[in-house]
Amino acid sequence: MELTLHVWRQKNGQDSGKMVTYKARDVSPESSFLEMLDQVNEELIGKNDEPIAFDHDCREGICGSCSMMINGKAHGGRKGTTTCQLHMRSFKDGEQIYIEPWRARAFPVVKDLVVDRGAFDRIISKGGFVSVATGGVPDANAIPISKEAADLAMDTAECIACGACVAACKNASAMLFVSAKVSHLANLPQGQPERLQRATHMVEQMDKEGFGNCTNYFECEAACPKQISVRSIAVMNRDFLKASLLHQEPVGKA
Amino acid sequence: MSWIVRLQKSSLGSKYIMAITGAGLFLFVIGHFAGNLLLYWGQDAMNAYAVELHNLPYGALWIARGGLLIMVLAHIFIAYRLTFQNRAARPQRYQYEATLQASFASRTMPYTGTIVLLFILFHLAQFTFHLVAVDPVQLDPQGREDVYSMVVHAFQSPVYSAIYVVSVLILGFHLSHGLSSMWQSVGLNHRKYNLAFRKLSPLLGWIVCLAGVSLPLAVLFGLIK
Repeated sequence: MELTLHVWRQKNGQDSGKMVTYKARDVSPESSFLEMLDQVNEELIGKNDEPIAFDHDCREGICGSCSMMINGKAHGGRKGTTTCQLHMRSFKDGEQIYIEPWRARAFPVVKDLVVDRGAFDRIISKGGFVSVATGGVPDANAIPISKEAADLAMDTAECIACGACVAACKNASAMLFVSAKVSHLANLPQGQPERLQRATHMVEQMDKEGFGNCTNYFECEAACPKQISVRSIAVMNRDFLKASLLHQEPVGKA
Repeated sequence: MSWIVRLQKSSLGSKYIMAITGAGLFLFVIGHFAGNLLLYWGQDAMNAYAVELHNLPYGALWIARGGLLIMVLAHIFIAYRLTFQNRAARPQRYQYEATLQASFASRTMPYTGTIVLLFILFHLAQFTFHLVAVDPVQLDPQGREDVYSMVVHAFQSPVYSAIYVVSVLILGFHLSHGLSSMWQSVGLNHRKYNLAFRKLSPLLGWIVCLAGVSLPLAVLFGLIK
């Protein structure tokens, strides 16, 4: 296959950046999108040009590193697929492909297609965990969990924090990511003690990071490589509402 | 009180306000259109309804108007604040824009909302404040304000009728996203009820708006004289 790539090139955070056109020649339809980029980079290195920088790690769809807009669609827009799992057979010979980094104020571009997703880490550090006392190993089945609850929790625990939801959202909102974590722990008994404060603190941090708001476009759900449902956003909306209306700090005895 | 200020500023608090005020405003639209359908029952029914509305006990009309004004202002203020925040959240747009499943109605809410706002201002200036495009107030044979003739005469103009038909259809379009979206915003999303949330709610919006649209058309085509 022969393809024309229009790739966003940007030296660093200060550079204004621009689209640069490259030819990708002799691309095998069996190669993955990242392997195709590797091939283009080999050629660039051979010509003493700067290779295209992009994030990648596991290349099997579980790490959430690879992140790029391909023809305006996060991870290329194929259902339940990350960029590394996207194969060139999904494209036509001679096709023009536009490759851009995630665009969000909260995700500043580091270089070319690489963005800083530290905002997600800061949101997780505000409540995306359960506090457990360390000590002896607890009995495996000491806390009963129904199969349904475990499955619901797993549906959202699948989130790989790739940021496709933010990239696809017309408002650059991070609601699907944040709600996936809120909903994951809200479905488990271990998540109950910190449930309301988790929703409050994570949403507060999300707002601070400068993500947009949810308009219920549901683009995030369609773009999510783990197909996480917007039902989780409803769970977060519910928990945050409950926390806002009912939560009170301990004030001591009368 | 500080928690209320914090809540309305937060992303989710803003959504609750949009959903609740939107639902309240839709209830008003239902009541307003239901009253206006009395146009089909003739001059006496319409004018008697207008008098009764003004004579509601305990100043109910003014309480309703006050509540309505608060809801409208909150809905508009939060909508524009959200829109500016959303624009700011993506300072650099994509060169290649694509949409996977976001509906056209959902993507045009700020625009359809603004058109509806302009329409409401025109509508108030015309029928409430009698500032534009309306005859001086006349009295009917019983000595009541002749609301019926005022409305019928205005709708006999194809231009004014067209403004009403197009604006109310745009309202229906605005509601087609708003009425399905408001449930999700307050956390209601459940497989058992999503048919009602996502399909029946917007359908109700369209039914109400089409009933409203029928009025200028009925006048224009001579069904109401």
